[in-house]
Amino acid sequence: MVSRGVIMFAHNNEEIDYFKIALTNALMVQDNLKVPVTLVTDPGTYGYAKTQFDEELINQAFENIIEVTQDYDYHRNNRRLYKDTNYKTSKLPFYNCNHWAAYELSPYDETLFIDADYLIMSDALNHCWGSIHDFMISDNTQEAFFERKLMPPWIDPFSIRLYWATVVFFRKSYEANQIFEMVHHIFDNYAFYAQQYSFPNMMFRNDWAFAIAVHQMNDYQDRAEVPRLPIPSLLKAFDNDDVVGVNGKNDITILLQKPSHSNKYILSRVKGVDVHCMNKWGLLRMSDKLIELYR
Amino acid sequence: MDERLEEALKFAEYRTTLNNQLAQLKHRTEVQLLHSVNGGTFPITMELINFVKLHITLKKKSAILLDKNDTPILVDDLKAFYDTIFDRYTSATQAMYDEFMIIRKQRKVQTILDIDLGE
Repeated sequence: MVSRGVIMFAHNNEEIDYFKIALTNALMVQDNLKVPVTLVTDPGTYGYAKTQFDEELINQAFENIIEVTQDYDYHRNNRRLYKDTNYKTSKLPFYNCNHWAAYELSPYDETLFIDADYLIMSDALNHCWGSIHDFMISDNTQEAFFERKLMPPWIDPFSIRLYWATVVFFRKSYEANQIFEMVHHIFDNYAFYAQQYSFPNMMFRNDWAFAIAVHQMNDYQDRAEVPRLPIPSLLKAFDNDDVVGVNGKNDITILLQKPSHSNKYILSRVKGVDVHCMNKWGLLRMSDKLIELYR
Repeated sequence: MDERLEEALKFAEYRTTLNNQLAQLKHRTEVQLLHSVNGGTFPITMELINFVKLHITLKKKSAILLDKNDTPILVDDLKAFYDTIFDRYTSATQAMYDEFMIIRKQRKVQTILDIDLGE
């Protein structure tokens, strides 16, 4: 019997409770995909979570919780700009240096590795299970505000195709292992690869690391030989946008920033599709309602 | 502000919301129009439905079809495959049509979204 499940990572910083976001999404995963969830976290994050949530809820959300040791220097120094729409910005630590470990840490034969803030509101990703391919990733995104310009499909106009590490499917296999090993190697030599692939050597980004790994596994060619996820695209609501309402299961309301006005928004109702909500504060404001709904 | 201009801007806002919800609807329908078999995933299109129907008409029991990733997949029971994709296509497009007919008649942002925005 092939084991299947989802793996997520959650490492809190001083403002963002990633554990709560992951817990919310884990309940949504179980409701829609009907598979268990494994969480990778650190003792500090987990310790704090135990003071916030009852044990029963944590056990309901996660089949396994794997505590890993943090590289505290990395956590302190790898800072990214977080936005709560255009009205609030904060530069906060972002712990994303261990995603390459998902392959080793996953207890499943087939794993969906998803970002905690990629809300699962459909069963679409169930199409991954039993795939003929050992590794699948997406290079296609769709803005939740459909008129907004799409992100360019390249790391840089003079560089390679961008793949999104938001959702990755892998099977325990030689090929998938090689890709994750490559991501690890790219993390260890990020300055070199930044120069090689024309991007700023600032904050480490898994999207770029996976894109480079895929490029290298394609023998340095832009051949479309790495299989894409079955879903048409990854729907994205950026951190300029805000989750403002929960209307029911798999049904949320999002304020989307107008492309031509940084302080004007339209309302949008997103139903029955998965959506990447990058405004962490917005998600956290709605997470109690979502937990109540899905628990 | 000139009352007519204010009215026009309100209408523009309504049009943007309407178009975005229609695009959302189309995206959701695309997500629903997938079928997986023997490790391959197929976007269900009118072309696929007709191609499979052609095989069945030619008394074929199985066929090799190229999936979303252009991977050749053996579909060993074409009839069952056809029944599933046909059903899924008709039910997904019926749901899309029903919602489209409701949305297109709405004349206010809150009725397009069918949510209570208060006063």
